[in-house]
Amino acid sequence: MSTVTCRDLTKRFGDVVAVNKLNLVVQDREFVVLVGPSGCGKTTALRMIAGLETASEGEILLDDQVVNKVPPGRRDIAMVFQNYALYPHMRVYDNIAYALRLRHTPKHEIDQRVHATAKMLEIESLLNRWPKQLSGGQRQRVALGRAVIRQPRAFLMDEPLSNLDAQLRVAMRREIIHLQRNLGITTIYVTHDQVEAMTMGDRIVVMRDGLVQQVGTPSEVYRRPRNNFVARFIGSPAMNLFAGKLMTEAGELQFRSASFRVMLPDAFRAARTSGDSGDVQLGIRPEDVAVVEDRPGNGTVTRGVVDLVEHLGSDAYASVKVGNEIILARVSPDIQLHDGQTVALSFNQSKLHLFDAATGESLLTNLPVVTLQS
Amino acid sequence: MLAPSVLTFLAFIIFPIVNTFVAAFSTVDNLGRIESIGSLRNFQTLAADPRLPGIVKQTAIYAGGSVFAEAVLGMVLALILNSDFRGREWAKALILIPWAMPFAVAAMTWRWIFHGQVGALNYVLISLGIIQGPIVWLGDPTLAFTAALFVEIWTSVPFMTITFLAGLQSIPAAIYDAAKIDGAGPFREFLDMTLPQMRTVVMIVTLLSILWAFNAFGIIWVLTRGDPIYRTDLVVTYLYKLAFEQSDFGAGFALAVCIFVVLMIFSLIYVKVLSVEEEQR
Amino acid sequence: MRTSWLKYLGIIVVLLPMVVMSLFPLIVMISTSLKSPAEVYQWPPVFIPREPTLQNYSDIWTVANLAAYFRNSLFVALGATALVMLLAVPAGYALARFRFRGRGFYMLFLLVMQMFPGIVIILALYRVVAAFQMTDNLVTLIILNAAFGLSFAVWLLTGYFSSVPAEVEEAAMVDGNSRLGAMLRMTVPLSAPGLVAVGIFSFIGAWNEFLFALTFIRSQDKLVLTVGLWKYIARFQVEWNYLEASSFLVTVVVVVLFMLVQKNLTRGLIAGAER
Repeated sequence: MSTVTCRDLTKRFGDVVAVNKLNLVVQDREFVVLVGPSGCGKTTALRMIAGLETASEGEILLDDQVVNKVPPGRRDIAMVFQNYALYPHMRVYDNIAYALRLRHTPKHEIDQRVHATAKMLEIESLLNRWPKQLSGGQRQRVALGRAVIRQPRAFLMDEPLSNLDAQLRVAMRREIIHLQRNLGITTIYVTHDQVEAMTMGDRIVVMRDGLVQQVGTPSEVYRRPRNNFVARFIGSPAMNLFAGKLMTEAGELQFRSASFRVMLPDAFRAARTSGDSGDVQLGIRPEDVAVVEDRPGNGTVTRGVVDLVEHLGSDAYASVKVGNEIILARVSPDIQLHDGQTVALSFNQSKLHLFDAATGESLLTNLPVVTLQS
Repeated sequence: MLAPSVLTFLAFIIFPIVNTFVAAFSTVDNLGRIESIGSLRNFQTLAADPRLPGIVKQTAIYAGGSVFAEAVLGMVLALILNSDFRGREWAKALILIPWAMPFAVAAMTWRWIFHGQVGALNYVLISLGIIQGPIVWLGDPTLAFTAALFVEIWTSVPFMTITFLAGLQSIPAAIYDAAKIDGAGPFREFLDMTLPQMRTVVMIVTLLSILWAFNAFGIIWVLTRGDPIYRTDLVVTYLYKLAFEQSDFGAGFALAVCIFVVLMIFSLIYVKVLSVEEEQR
Repeated sequence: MRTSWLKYLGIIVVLLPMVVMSLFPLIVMISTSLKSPAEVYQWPPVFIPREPTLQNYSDIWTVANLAAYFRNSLFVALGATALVMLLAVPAGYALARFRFRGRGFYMLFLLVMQMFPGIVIILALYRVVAAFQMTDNLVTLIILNAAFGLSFAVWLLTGYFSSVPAEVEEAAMVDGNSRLGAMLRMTVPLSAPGLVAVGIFSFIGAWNEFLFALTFIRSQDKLVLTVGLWKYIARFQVEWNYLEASSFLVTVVVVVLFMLVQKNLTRGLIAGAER
């Protein structure tokens, strides 16, 4: 059993609170991703778990043991660094073997394990080379090898893929996932790339300015973001967000912005804004906005003028100007749209999100789940 | 563009070197003018000189001892200065003072400190109760030699420190993190991470220092002038004495040639080491 | 955490004593320079003179002919610096920008030259200088100091010039400058800190120089500071208070200059090493 627990973990640098009462339990064999923009505290949190930074407050537990005072070398964890941090003055073989040598492992055992690890990572041919002779991807594998050979309780990875080019990144992503599944080692992974977070994590922890915004499976975080930050951070292209007011007109609940209005499902009635000001943000993802024929009964929400169409090969996205706002809609790549064309947009009613304009919190979290057909 | 500097080098360095070699193998008059070429008399004179072996030995101890002490002290200081602490910038600047001072001036002041009667050193030591009465430091051969060695080390430690510091700062910090995770303690970190990466710097600086110790004319000349009785002389000061005091230019040339050869050997080692390290980059 | 006690131990046991050692001669220097002749030879000596006097600082100019020495040192140091810069700038530029046969060899030569002690060729130099009747001439010192400081200067300058991207000059040349014009207008101003550093190093080197000054100058009034002060000790009765006062002045000049460039030193060393 290798669980990692953080209790009210806090780190202060002078007046700045880098990590603010982080509470997290990572289960055995789980792959948890800490994700967020630069400076959100994710790397600091990871380094505290590793023991490279001391916690200002709070506790870190490995299995059920408080390890705050245990030096990194004795926590039985392994780390993969963003810049790989390979020992430049040692060959690949020695890089991987170093930790074992420190523990006075017998020579033949070291040899056997190094070769086994290298084989698993397909770097056997590189064992005799120097780090500077390796490509980025190869160095990455050596860094992984260094971690894997330890058979640690947990892997800690600090943005290991950020220095690789796009294609390599995708390939290595899959390898890391396979590796983790095969070895079954608890992993905490830090990244700023939400795609990585979504594809790799069993659970995601979204962080911002030292605070946890949401913890959940990729699916949960995607479909039910708890605040507008998570809503826009996760998912690419980002969710459309519009400022406006909740109104009741002729018995119907409506969202009204400066440029358009949307009918809201009855279930939203229970939503209450702070102070009942009625100021809200409506959110809808581009894939849930459709360009439709301008016919009544088509669920048309509003009309607008096409500003720009971006073709991505498998998809296309149209920026449609409605009044002063731009609405991004996903469209078929075959669609024929030209700039300046007037189109009609339709919103998928079951995929609407509502956030309090003041706090940014989702107003839907208190509503019974069954009403939202996710 | 290069021409002027090349010419300068040719005139003032290459030419004199050639000249020296030629003169060493010739008979030379009192003023150094060549009389006839093709004689080993100068070298014979040198070989017969009873003082020379002792001086050579002194030079070797001086160069080796000072470089060793400088390297150790320099490394320790660099390690300390590499970590953060209050007053770090001040310490860095103050440590450099010995190197900044004109060494002749520094040597003069040290001579005053070492003064047999009223020197500051005697005062400090007597006050601390380490010695009973004043010691004539520069009068006793062994003590004077030690004093010279000390001044040499004092002058050169700053250079070592600064160079080592620069080297330390070029080691990527993440390496130490990785080593910590792998389980290395502070001594292991030093032995396995710091030292290997400093190897190039250490070798270069050590070789340079050996060469510079050979060059320590000013310090010796001012501090002791080679006294007492040649016991603090180095080959370089002895050369000077041979030529300008004993008017034996011939022997001087011969000695110069010997020194040159030794230095060349060291330089070649230096260059060799550099190119080997370059390959590993 | 574990290493911090080690660090503090090191600071106390090594750093502090070293700092004290570094300052000790300076302190003695200042203290002695403020003593009257009577107090200088007192036993036990005191660090803080009971009757401090600035008399020494005014006496040295007359009694010790310090003014002449200062003038001479200044003349030699400035002259050598100017000469070095004149020779080294084109050389450094050429080495930094052009690839040509013999470049590697030249760089190697420079490297070896830096370690070359003048003592080895002093005899041959003496003969040459004597033949040209240039003994007892300060210009000789200028030339020799320049020649020996040249390799270090070129080495450093090559490093500094290399760090100025060639594109800047190329842009200037596209704009219509000749190569020389581009160099003067672009590269030189951009590497100004480096040039200043090299200039100061050359100055310090010439200012501190002892061997050549000792060998090639005879007359009292042509001596430079380093030798002039040393001759004091060679006399029978050393007036240490004067000596230390003069020493202090000499040192202050250099130390101030040095502190100005000390940051550049490490940068220059590394830049030079990376060629």
